Amino acid sequence: MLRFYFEVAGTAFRRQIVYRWANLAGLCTNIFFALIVSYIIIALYAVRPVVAGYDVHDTLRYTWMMQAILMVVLPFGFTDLMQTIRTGDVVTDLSKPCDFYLYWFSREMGKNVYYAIFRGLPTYLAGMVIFKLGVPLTWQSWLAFGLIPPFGATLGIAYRFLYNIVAFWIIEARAVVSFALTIAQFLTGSFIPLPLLPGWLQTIVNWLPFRGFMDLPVQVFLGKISGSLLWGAFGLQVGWLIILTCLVLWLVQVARQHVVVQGG
Amino acid sequence: MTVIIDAQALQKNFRVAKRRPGIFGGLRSIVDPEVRIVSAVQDLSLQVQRGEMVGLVGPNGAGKSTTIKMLTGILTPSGGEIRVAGLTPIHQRRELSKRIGVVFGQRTQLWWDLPLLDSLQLLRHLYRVPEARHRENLKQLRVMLDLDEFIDTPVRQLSLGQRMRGDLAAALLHEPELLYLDEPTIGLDVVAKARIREFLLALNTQRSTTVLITTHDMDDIETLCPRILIIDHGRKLYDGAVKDIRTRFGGERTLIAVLDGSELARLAMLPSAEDGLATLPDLPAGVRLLKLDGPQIELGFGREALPAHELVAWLGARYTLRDVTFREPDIEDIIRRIYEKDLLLGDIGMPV
Repeated sequence: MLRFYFEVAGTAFRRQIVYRWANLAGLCTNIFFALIVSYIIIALYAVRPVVAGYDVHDTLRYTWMMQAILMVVLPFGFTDLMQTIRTGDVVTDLSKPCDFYLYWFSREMGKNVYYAIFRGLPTYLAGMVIFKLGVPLTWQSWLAFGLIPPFGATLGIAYRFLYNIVAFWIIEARAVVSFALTIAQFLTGSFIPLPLLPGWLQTIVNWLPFRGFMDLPVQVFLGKISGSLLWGAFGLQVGWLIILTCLVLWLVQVARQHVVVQGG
Repeated sequence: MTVIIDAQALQKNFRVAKRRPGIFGGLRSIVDPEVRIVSAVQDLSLQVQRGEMVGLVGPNGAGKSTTIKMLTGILTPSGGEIRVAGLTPIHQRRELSKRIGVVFGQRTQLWWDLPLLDSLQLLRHLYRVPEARHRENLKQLRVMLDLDEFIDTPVRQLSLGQRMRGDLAAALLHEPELLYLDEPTIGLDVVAKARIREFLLALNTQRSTTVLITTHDMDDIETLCPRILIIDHGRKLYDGAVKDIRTRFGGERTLIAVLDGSELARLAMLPSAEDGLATLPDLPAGVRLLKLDGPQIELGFGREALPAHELVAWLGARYTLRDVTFREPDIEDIIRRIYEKDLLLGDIGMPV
């Protein structure tokens, strides 16, 4: 069965390739936003050279890395699952002899790999060219970077599944999507880097699942977090992953119990 | 023959929240929802033998799709017993889904953006069909469904008929024993419909796949299904042979006679009733004149009124006949009559 899930991921990957122009447009958007934020950061850093241990170079890297993994962890407009629930097409997926969540998980994983290669990489490369961002040179950074972001991406999938599956109960759930995305983006540091938030807010945010989405992977990339602090954060990330996954599986069970398949 | 579907006293209730009209009504419904129980299926029993082709017919909202969804294990019945291929659908859904194929005519399981072949290849891994087996099946289906011309085309570019053929192939690649078809010919043109029907007949004879099909198209039923089940309001109205349905609910048959030209003068002399239609004198009881158009006469008569040959003899004794044909009542009209009058199975005795 594992083979099937890999094939699903592969198929989802190929499906993304079909939309080259959409990807190019998306890439431009990522770079555009990263540019705007970069110049704001540069202007702000004219006042003070270092904020909370981050100099202007660190914050620029943080920003570009955020933009680079945004589509992997918190993609805009993911309503695919919701749509199948709305139209009732979900029945074809529910009647397959495979696990419903793993099926969608594999689809999203395939897509994630695509976005990492064709959106993340070029976005960061653009930042490297424009602002001479460079990459970390310690092997520890790369090792941790190989470990933590995949967990972030997995959390992201559980999260997007959650805000889509509400469509089983709320028919028009697009508002839920916007809300879920905005909250998550803020709490994972996509608008303001988490290390720059006031201390009291950081203590709260550090315990929430969102930090593990993007902030933790990016901090690991920057080499700003290491040792026991890193392992603690990683443990928390894994803990939240288990909790969210269990929640998803439970909701799928509940949904199965009383689905009313839309449209006869 | 062995039983493949065995459902006893199937029941499905849905809870539907009623919204009160107006702003305040809407608010009140949030705090104090008014829940109504709708029974989509009531006390439905059905048995299908291996290798049968059975049509499930009923108006919109009759409970056909709900029944199919219970039989596949997607919906949990509120009551009753189901065994499909020896399994209990809701508990053994995955095992069951490896042995059945499902096509929902208004939905698709194909990947919209990718060539049809991609979706078909993926299914091999889903059902874990050995590669040689899969290749062989695909080859057969490519021929039977004529997939070659569009197998490399992205599904979103396919016509509805082609997509339907693609979906059928997808549902059959793992050689299911049982195929559920939910309105497979919906929206298709005459040629595409005929093609699908031919394929299903071939499938049934060659692989002896059991087929349960819901449709609104009576031609589907007449060409494909020797047996039909009519349901409405979630209850079974009829279960039996298509040919018997005419005898039972048939209403009138029509005799169309073309008289010899020499009779025209006599026909013109016939007295007219108040509504302007001519009347034939001393017609046998139970026979009425439907139409008189030049030399052509149409007589409607009930099956019980008199045997067809006697009517021909009666007419032949009075006029010189050129040609006689009969028209059986349209199956669609019969079914409409059954829906409208809600004729219950109980009224006509036991099922066949």
